[in-house]
Amino acid sequence: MVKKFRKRENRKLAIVQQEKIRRRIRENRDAHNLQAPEAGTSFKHIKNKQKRSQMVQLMKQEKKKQKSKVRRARREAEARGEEVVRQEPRSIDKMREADETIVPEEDSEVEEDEAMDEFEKYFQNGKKPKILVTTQKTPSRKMYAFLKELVCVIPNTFYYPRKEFPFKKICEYAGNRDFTDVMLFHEKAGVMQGVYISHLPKGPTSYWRITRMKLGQEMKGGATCNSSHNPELILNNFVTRLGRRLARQFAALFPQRPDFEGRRTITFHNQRDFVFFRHYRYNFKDNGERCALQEIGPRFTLKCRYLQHGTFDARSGEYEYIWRPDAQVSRKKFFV
Amino acid sequence: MKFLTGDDTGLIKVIHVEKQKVERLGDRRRGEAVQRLCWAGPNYSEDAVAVAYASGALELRDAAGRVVSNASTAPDVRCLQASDAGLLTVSSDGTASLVAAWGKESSFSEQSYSGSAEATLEQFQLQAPVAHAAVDPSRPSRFAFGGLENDVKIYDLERKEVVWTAKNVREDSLCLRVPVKVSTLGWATKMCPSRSLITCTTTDGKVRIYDANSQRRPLFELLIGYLVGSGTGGYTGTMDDTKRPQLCSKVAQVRGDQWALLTADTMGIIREYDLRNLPKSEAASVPPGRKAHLKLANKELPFRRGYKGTMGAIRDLDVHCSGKALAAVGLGRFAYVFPTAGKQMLTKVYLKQKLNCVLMSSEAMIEAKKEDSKQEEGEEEQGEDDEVVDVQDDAPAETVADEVEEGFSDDGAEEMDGEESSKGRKKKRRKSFSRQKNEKRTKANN
Repeated sequence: MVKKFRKRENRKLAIVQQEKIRRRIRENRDAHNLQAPEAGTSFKHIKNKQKRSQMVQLMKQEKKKQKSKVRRARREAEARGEEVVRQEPRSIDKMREADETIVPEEDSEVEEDEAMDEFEKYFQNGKKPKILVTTQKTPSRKMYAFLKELVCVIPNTFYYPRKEFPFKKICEYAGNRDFTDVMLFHEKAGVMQGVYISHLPKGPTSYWRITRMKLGQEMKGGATCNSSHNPELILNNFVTRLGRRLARQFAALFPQRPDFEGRRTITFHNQRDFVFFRHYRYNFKDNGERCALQEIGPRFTLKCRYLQHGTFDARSGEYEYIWRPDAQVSRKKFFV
Repeated sequence: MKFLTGDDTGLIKVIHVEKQKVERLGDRRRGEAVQRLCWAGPNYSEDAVAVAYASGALELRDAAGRVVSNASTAPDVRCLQASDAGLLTVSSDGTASLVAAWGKESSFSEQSYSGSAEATLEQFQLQAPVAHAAVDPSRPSRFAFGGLENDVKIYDLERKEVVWTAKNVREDSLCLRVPVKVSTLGWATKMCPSRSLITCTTTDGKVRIYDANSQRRPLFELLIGYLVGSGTGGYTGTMDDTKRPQLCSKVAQVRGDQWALLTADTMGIIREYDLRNLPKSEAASVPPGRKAHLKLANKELPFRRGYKGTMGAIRDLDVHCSGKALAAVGLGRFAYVFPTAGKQMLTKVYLKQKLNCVLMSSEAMIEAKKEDSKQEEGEEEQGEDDEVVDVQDDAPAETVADEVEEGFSDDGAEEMDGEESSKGRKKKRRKSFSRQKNEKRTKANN
């Protein structure tokens, strides 16, 4: 067992040693007027592993140097005001497979279908959502901490302990008491696992996997949530038919009229089928030139596992969408 | 090949598969879901189609989509079929209506395009609740119906009464009464005219086979997904042990003269069972629910194959009259067309709405054999009316030099039965070289 201070010292010594070695190599090469190896040269001919890896290391360092030169030049050019052409990085979302379910700008059929769906009452009449939040049968302390925050984040939300009620019955009773949605969170091994969002009275039920949860309490420099104001809602990138339906379900959780004075926004940002939930307070500064964001939290990532027609009925409910591993053969195919 | 679909918003669409076109059949009725479609031209030809809506409204539309005649019955229509005495509709509360003027006797000329001509109905009451009813194709004067806690009954239209009632199976191994949850019915009398075979699927994920000529109890009861067929016949994913409700089923001839029972459930899994043993099936001596019975049922009604590639609950199935293609529609907003022989889906059509029913026409299937040009991958949307048809056929066919001679037999040998996966996989590997050749052939043939 090495003592901590000794470990730190050893590390410093090792770094100093590495630096010495590198300097020696460089001086040797300079003495013999050897150029640094170009990127892409092959060192297969060097059979000695140590020497070979040394050469590869030099090549990489050289490449890094060149790259930072180019980058600096670009930045300087921009500062001077010149037009700088940057390459667009190739990411999977940009190479998304063409999907016929992506809803175009104006599609009367889709609009008419949405005018007849389960959420229309909310969108047309501005019906105020009333949400029932509950958990699996034995929630842990972390769950309570999270729900305490959630109840403040989403307006008009009420927590009810699960006791021994079956989920189907909860949906029925909530419907009788004029609730518009039921959200049931569940954990596995002390870690938040997923949430069922069931719209009432006969709306669809979606199940989302929750990952990367960070509570508002854990936010460094975070703002506090003032739950007396209605938040503003941002729904990004829900392009397909399924995406629109899920977006409508999220939208139906929040009151239609936001209170802009509260300067509080909730974002559901969809990228690559992952929906990121973020909750910020924004401040306009410099006469509206800049906007500073302060995170209120919580923050988590959602992934839709299934969308089921009707209120919760895992056994005999009809599924509109189920995520299955075999549907994900192509990495460029997204459903939301 | 052409088929019609009816959806949740009241639209009826006609899909021409080879031409890759989607059209609407006339105007829609706003806000009413189309529940059932049926051919109802003169002599039950395809000159006209009868439409049943969720509100109970019935319409007869001609081939251009104009409404020729109207009628009205109880809401939530579960069955719309041609019978001896006219077009039969059965609603879930048990109200059955016969429209004599439509179907067999209907004849329309220019005068009858009056739009809202009311057709006369003959109504009678059946025991509620009715989940499904099916007319016996070889004796259209009788039909079977059943529902939740409403066991299968055969109603005779000539005698106007129930002539046969099924009896529930014996108690299960815990001495509990087995619930009766009929969800769909079918007749296998065309395959075997000497017996009155009824196939009944339940919301429990079971299939009961009755023979009305021999006894009231089912001959046997098959548990779907027991030992075989628990996935889609090839799909990888979590094995679903839950017994799911079967939303639709069809008894049809596929691949020539093989009779099959196709059934689809709320998860969107379509399964095909072979009916060839039914003419000789005896009543099982072991009561259902016991292991021996389950195994026996698997033998009597072997699981043949699944159809892979669907998303969302499948609400209706229809088989082409030649038995070569199968259309399935559901909540995933797609219409899928599968060949009964061969794994690759023929087409899937995005239809924007949740689909409730599908009706195949007998227009012949044009089988593409040697296609030298690439098939269109899809059409662009013209305005908001056309949908994009996604042709799932693969990459361009090989040049003529690579083509295999005609007369190639169908791909039946290459299919792997659902859960014989490990065995199938081994077979796959051993046959690798010939399989490559065969794959090329299938690609060429598609």
